[in-house]
Amino acid sequence: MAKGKQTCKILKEIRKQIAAENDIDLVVSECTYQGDCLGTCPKCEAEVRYLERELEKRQRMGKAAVFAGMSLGTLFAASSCNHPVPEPLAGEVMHTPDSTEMPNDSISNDSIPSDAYLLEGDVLAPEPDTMKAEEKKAACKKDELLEIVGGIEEEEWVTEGFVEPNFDGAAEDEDLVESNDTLDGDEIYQIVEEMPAFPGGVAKLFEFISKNIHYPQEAKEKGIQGRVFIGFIVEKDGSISNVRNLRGVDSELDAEAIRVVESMPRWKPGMHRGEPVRVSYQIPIVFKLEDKQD
Amino acid sequence: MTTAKIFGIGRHRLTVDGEGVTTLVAFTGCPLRCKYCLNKQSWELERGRLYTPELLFEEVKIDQLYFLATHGGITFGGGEPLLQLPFIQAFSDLCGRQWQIVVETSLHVPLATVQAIDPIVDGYIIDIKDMNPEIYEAYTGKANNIVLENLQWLLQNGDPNRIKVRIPHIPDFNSDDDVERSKEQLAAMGVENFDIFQYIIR
Repeated sequence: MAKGKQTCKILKEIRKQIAAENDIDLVVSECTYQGDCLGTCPKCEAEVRYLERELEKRQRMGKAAVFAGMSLGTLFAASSCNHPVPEPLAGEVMHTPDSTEMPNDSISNDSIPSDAYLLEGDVLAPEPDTMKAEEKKAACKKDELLEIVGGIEEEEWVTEGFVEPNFDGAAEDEDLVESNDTLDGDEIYQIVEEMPAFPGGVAKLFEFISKNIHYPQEAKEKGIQGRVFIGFIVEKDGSISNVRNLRGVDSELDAEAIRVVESMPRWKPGMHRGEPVRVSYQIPIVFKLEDKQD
Repeated sequence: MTTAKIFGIGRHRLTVDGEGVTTLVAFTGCPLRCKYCLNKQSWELERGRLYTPELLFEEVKIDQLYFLATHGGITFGGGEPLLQLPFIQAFSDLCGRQWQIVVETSLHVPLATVQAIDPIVDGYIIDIKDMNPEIYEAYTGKANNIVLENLQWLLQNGDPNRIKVRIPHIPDFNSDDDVERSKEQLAAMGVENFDIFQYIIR
């Protein structure tokens, strides 16, 4: 496997340079193995671990690891072989270079074996789901499923007494929902092939929330602000149900956020395998006063 | 805690997805149904192995030294990696900013997802298929308006150089003229980096 041998040589060159830049003694012997090579082997991996240990020792002594920003182009030249084969990304292609525009114009067509662009075989598929039951259980605690991750801040939405909608359309693992999460006897999905959508899209959702939400006067006077996370289900017919507060800030802010989400028009329902399905959705809504920072 | 199904991990990719040594992580789940998709196994969300960000980090950090030395890192592909926003966000918290994160994406996701992931993404490889809506829909089964909105947002909110757009010649779906037209339209939008190539159908 010429590609593997080539990868091996380049990785070895990287290791040699790391060792040289950090004053680490690394004796590299020429590999004489003649069989198929994946680009690395236990001996190569042992060299990496050795370098890591040596760098850790140096760090404990107060010396920072040096990585001088190695250029792979330089390393290719140093590896004494032709340039490596460009490999495909996960995608649908068996990728052949365009005659006028190459991903890397320094790559010679001559160096590309006929199977070089096949993705299959390029990606090493992990074993079928082999996570131990207890690991899976730990990974799939239903209570944690509803944790909201991230969100976006858009300064232009923030004015005094104004509400900054915040949004997180992505959700988590379908398996968890399929196996654990049913309500009213029907499965609730978190990720589907086509996520549900507010009529007109995300921008219209922002607009709807902005127009319809009111900053509760008492909360405003008290200077209460923060991010309320509202969860709900987009039903198969696009209606909104099970609106609930996932993480609140203040009873008034929470109630106002729920009121507006409950008043939303029907969404375009989520679709999975050609069928409308129930999808759990979360929207963070940020209540922010102009002169107060989080 | 978030999880995702991953159907492939490919180590030691050189200069393919970025300037350094990278590891490809391929998620299951895709909103598109491209006729010539080579990874149809990625269409099934339940296939692959279930990972937490922590488990994936433990597995791929074996190549951290290469990543740090060559300005490399992880390329998330699939499938559609942007369907796994919380997972990638959590993974980014674990690996830190020294690892480069590249996503190979169709951008066929809500704009809010793109906005949310953008702060942690160093590079985008965007498979645009074809700019002609009819060709796009015929090939993928979906409309491309959301893709163009997302691309426009990315171009207006960051360095265009972090974006590479792939335009395939797709047999029976687009012509050389279509590809050229797509390139011209994309260049007019501000795209600077292209990867134009040919699908080979076997």
